[in-house]
Amino acid sequence: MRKILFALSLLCLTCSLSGNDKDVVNFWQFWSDINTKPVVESLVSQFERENPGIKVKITDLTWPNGHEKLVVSFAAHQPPDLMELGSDWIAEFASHGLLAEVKSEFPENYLYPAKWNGNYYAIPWMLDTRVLYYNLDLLQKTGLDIPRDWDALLEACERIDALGDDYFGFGCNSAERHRLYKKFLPFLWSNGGQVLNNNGTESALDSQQALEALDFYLDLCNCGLIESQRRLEEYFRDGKIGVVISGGWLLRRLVLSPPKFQYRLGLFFTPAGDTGASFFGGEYLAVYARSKKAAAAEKLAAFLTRRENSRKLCDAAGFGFPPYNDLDVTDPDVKIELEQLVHSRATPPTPLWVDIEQDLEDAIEAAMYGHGTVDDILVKASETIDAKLKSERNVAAK
Amino acid sequence: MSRPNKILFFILPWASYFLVFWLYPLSYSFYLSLTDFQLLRGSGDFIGSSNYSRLLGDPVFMTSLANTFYFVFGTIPVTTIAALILALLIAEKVPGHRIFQAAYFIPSITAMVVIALIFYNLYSRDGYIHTLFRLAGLKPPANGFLQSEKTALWAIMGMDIWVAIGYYVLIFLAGIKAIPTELLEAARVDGAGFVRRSLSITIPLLKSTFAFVIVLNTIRSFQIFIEIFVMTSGRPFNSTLTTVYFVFDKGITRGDIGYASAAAYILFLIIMVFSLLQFKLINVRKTMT
Repeated sequence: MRKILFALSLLCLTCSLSGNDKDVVNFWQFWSDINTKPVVESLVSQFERENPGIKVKITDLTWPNGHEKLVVSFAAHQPPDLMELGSDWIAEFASHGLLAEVKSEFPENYLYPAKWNGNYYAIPWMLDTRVLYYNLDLLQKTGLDIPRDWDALLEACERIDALGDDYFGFGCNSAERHRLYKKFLPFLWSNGGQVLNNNGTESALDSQQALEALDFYLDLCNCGLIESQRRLEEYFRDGKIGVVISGGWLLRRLVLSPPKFQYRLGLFFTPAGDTGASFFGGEYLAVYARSKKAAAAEKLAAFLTRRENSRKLCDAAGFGFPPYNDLDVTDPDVKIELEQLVHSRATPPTPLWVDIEQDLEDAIEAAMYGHGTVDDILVKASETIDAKLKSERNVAAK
Repeated sequence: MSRPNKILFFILPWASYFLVFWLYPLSYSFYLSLTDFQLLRGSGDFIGSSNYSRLLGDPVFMTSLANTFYFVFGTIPVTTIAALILALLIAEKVPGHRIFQAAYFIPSITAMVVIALIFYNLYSRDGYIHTLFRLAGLKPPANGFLQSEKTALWAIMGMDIWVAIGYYVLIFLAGIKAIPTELLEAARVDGAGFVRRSLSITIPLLKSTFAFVIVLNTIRSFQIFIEIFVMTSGRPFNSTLTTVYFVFDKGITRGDIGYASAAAYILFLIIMVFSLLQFKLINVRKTMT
């Protein structure tokens, strides 16, 4: 019996020693589909070969509940050493001292969402934006060209909607968190509006620009289909929607299985027809502030965000751009995406964004379902957001 | 080992599980409900009953409570009556009764996430149910059942009834099997048909099973969450927001765990009151009989 116990103890000791000789970096990331996961794994293997002594453990997250999982892991004091974050979560985590400060050489405009109190807390891994997708066949049926200003866009959507019960002018999001606001913000920004003022201290949603933008969005919805993003994209691919807003992933699907109609990508525009601003989305990498493997995690982040490695990920995903300025693009549709990326804006970096996002979506939804006038709804949303910002300032002052 | 020690030894596994995973979280959650604890901050100050008074003045929380009550009182009678009728028919050993029994139970053992995703498609504008409504000459909501404030909650309730029936059919069947066969046979000899036997013998003898089904269904229905999480996230315009989803949203998504704990405690109290009332009613009836 004693011999068995001794052998077991020896085994345990060996195991624990063999575990210690490697610096295991816990890395939580969102690329879990069959195209991208192998690329992430192969990049990580390459990193491990280049850095003997560092071992990486990959854990997959999903976008619908990744934020919640991270929040819970922080609360349980067991977050990953390195984590992939949505661009609008960085300020929230950084403001609580949970992310390590980083020094970065990336372009300033791509680092904007990672900035909090004058410091940077994450580095960009890959970037994406939203563009307008047009069904050219439906447009042709209405006798109109690709719209160049707001009036033309609305007219095109109305005429497509009038083609019959099976056709819809515009794809309008609803009943999905984290998505609706991304469809409204391009119209708000293109009309010169903002969610918060320049200092991020007050809501700017009670402005004339916001009112006009929401009115316009409602007009588009009135001649469109209200559905989830996934379903809207399916309807578009079936040739039933004239105009949808989507990211590069839709282009990839259209290229892989070409629809029976001609389509075209287009930039957002201002009411008068100048180039408008779209939503800037990105995947960022951040290191846990109290990680014991911070050095190894930073090394991994730097490796993954190298131009060639980020490019590999974008190629596997079929969309997105490495976070560098001088990108060489030849495909005309991808060129439009890249041009829109340059004319894109990130949401204001505030710790309260998850809250503000929901207030904004509640307001858009209230307007869509006729719960008051647009003016009243925006004023009420502004008051709610202002109260939260004030309360946050008071807590921070304490 | 003395007898008290033996008893202690045998109840220790369950008692430790109860203490660690039930009693401690329950007590800690109550403490949190009296603080302004934030998940990301990792701390909070004692604020007394402020969270509770804030909740009572929060229209979104009130909407979530109202939706939960609609859900509970809308589904329980239908589920219970339908399950009882199906159980009575199966107990009559109609041809193929075993197939029916298995078929009704399948939804209960299928993952709710899978069912919710299937129904999400069925309820959409081009979905099967939407098309059936149109073929029947009815006017379903233009953008699908889940995109309309008026129909979204009802649609989820319909799905939930379909899912839950099979489980309660089994419980009723177990209750019917426990009824002495001689009673039913005597009635049959006296010429009582299926309806008379059901109304005069089976159903009156199923009172305790009824009570069990209703209490179980009430607790389960008050806690509805997965369907909402997968299908609507409480939308459109909070028309499908239930209290547990409200707790999840405030506590986990927004990290306001003190406020969420207070909401959870209010729901806990409501469920407790309802369960006690139901037990009391059952006991009163038992004494009367």
